[in-house]
Amino acid sequence: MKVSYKELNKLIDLSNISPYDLANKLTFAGIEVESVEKLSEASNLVIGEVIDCQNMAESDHLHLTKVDVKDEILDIVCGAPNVRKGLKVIVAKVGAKLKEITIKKSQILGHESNGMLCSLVELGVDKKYLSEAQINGIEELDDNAVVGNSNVLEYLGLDDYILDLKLLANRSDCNSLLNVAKEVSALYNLKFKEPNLINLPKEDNEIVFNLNSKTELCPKFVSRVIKNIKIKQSPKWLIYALRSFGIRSINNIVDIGNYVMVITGQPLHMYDLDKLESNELYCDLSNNEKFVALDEKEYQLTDSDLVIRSKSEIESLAGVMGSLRSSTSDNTKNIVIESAIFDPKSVRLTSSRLGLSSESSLRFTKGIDPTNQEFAVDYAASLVCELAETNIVSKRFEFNKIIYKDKEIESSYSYINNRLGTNFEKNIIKNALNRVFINVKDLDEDKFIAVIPHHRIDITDQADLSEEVIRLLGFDNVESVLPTMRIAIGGLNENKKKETLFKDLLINNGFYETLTYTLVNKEMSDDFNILLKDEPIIIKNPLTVDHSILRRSLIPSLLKVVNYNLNRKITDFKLFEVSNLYSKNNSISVLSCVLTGNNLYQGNLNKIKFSFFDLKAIVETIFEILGIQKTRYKLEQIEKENRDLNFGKSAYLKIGNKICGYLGEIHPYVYKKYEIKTNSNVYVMEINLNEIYQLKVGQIKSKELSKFPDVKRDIALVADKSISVATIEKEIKLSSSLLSDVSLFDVFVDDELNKNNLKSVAFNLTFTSFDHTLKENEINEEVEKIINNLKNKLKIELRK
Amino acid sequence: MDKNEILIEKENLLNDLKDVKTFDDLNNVRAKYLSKKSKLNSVMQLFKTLTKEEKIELGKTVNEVKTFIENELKSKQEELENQKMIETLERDKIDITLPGSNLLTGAKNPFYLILDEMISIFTSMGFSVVEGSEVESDKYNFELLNIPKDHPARDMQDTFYISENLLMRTHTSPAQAHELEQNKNKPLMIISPGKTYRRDDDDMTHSHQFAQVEGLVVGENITLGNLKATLELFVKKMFGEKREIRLRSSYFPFTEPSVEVDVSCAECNGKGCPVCKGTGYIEVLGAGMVHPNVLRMAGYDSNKFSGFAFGIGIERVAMLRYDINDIRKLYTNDIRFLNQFKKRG
Repeated sequence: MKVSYKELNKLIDLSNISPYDLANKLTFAGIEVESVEKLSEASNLVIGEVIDCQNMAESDHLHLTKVDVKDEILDIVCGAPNVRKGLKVIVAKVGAKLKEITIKKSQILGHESNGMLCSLVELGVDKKYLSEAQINGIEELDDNAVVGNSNVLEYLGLDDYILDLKLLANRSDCNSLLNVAKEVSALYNLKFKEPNLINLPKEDNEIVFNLNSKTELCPKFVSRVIKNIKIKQSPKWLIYALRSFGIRSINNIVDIGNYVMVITGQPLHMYDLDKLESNELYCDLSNNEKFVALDEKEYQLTDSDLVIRSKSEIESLAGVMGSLRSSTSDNTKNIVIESAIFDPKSVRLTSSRLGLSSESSLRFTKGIDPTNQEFAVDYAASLVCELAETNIVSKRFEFNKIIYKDKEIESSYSYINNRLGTNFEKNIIKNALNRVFINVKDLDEDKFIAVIPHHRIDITDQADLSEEVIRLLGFDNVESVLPTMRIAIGGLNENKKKETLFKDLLINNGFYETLTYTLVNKEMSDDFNILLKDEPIIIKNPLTVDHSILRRSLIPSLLKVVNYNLNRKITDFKLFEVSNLYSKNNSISVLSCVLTGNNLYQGNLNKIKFSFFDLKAIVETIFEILGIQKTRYKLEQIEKENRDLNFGKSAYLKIGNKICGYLGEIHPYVYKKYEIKTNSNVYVMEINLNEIYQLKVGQIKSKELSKFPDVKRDIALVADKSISVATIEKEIKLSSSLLSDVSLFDVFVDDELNKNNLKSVAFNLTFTSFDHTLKENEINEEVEKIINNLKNKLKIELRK
Repeated sequence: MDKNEILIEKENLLNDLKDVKTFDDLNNVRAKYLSKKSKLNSVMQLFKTLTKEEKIELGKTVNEVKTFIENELKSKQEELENQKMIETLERDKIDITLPGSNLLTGAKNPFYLILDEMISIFTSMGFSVVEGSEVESDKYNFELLNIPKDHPARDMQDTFYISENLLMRTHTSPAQAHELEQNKNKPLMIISPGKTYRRDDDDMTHSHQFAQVEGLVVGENITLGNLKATLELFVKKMFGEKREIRLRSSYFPFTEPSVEVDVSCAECNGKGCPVCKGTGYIEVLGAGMVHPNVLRMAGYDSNKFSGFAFGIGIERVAMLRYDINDIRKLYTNDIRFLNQFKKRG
């Protein structure tokens, strides 16, 4: 809502209140003023009269003028096509500051110029309020302009400030200037006197008109018929007032409708009586009809759009837009003014479906004062009679199903103080409520009934009363006191604590924690959906296809980050993110990691390409610090058909038989799809944290160490290539009860071995006894046992 | 035999040692002063010719000089050895200007730095942390928060819908409805951080995805003064002890009274500057007393219980704290940007 400071001043005396102070006060009271703008910043202007105008010989369009400004006669060079002798003009004198320039004494083609003749554009008026002639030429002042008058902005109605109110949903009442005035009176504790705006001629009872509503979505409909009107240009005061409210003047009738709406908050509609189908108007639901609106476009209506009909014809789309057929035109002689209440939901649905939003529909959508319709129609009728030069006005026709009673809320002074944490005296609270036009009727020492004024449809609960009190008295009156709560241990839940553990591990190992978008495009949504396989959740009303589906994996988002950084020549890095994933029937939390390029041990001097084993180490270390034994999970080869991962360098992470994660190099197809070069070396991992968190983990119980020394032995073996190291290791461990550790220290294949499809593996064995010192021959026997076992079970030989 | 003739050997030795540069030089000097051909040795040969008193007298001097010579030679030996050690180490000397080996420290996106800090401030005050789903029902996102269908406030929050009743939550406030419902008529002190979504075009200050930390305190006799004190404490911990807050009346359907909380501008200390657009204050969060309808709908006795709630935008705080001028930078994850946030604490 744009509020004109000058117009507001007509309703309440602002003589000691600057527009900026007003803006500040309103903002603190919950009516945010987004900006305060001076309508025109121009200075050093005066009204002059052109007493001589000659074409300049040196130019094809410039004129040499002599302009009388009362105290002196100025030589001014002017380029406007409409400058001529006898014209009264706006003169910007030397030193004047206009919107974009400062006027200086100058020489133009050898002629002195002591100022400038101005158009309204140069004074800062938006072109939408101006005619073509006003935009292209200088402003032509009328005969009332007094030469020498330096209050030019006042004369032009430009000496105004515009306060742009950003109204929150609760204060739609301030879409009315009268209610803004009431609010101002409350904030400054000023007396507010309802202005006497209605001055109607004697009603013509001969005029008959029928009003009705066939739907409860329009519970109230009042109107007046006015005859013999003269459509013409509005007077200046009205044009200027509307301009301050941000509305362009059309003609007196349209302007009155807009002006009354801004002043009262009640939208009106003016019909041309003679174009109505019959002598009646009634509200009804449409019946899938077509409707040609004032904008000359045709709209398809449904069976839920509110319309105003006359006989069967639709005369307007209720609260949204008038029809082309019955709206007023330059030839209109007789009008009907509509002032009604339409259901906010219905108006909202219609206006948003058809993309038709207006000052009127906006007000209906936000809710209007249910008692205001009679006043608005009377005020409009008064203005029509005055400005359209008629005195033939009907009585007020009314259809009204609303029995209005002032809202009463029971509350108490102690409730208000308790809610606010204040100690206000009774009369201070009462006085504050009275200032916002709430009447207080005491029931006893503490309890009272608050009677709410009809324009404050937002006040419905005693909590609302506490807000009125504190916003008027000021939040500075609230003393800060920390709440006293029963002692409780706050903090993170167990899962979040675990998350912190491995996040710190990753950060301390060179990972960057990223933040990416949940909503992705179709292509990304279909990649890496390994952990969440069921259907994705799709947004019904996305803004762009790029953010239209909930992702089922973080990997595509992270690959985008990889691509972004590679394009900026950053080639070696590690990323991770923890986030929730959602699908139709599931939601899980995942940890996802991406390795790109090399592990930089010492900058570029010592770097090693990331591999599968870097990811494996992360998995193992995370499980270790979470206390999950190695025996509880396993890595398994990925099927060859997989299109997300390079199966040769990837694995599933399984707990029991369930896939709880995957790790490995991205598939060559994925490199291509995400525009990442294959030699960028990208490895990814994603773990389902829900599965990890639900594993039961015991407390640490320390074990006694052996008092006897360990014995170490190395064995080198030759095995078939297809036998995994893990299989051999497992077999070794099963072979001897004295073994406390088996650790691999070498794997190699030479030409000879390769020919026979063999590999060499070497282990370091540690033997431990808790009850005696191990002897040489004892160990030899154990090693023998191990070797025999390997020979029998896996056909593994000792290397010669 | 003159005693001085023996003593002079000390000086001679010191003179000779001056020229010693190598172990060979040292061996030569050692031979000169301690071998059979040495002067000292020749003096010893004379001993048998001396009286007992003379022997004692001279013997003392000889011993003294011998000890002196041995010590000097030893220290010279050490000096030469040390010299040699230095030369050896010198040959293996490294260039200390080469890059340091990587301790492999990464960095958090500043979003998480702020989130972690907020959680730490509130948990130290005794708040518990709860989480909610980003896919939410209309009931919890709107209706139980006093935003019935067709409430004008729904226009304030343009929503991503999944179906008629499912949506991407537009704020973290559904956590209030969930927690109240699960803890009927019990005191509560929780925060709930999380991602939220609105149908906004992404630009410097808007993002279709953003995150909030929701706070809720419910008990008997909770007042607006409690809210003010709690948020004052938070603001001082988050933005510095010198920061002040001020409350401005505002509107949220689920709180009444509702306030915007402004923090005095750190740049100008409240005097007004370009950072705070001349107002001296910066808007950081919204808050209010829980609307009685919200308590009632969750099954609380709204006559007995009252509460306050607040919502803080994580990105907004990160942008203020780290001078980040474009919210999209937080979602881009440029490694060069992230590298600026290695400092902890």
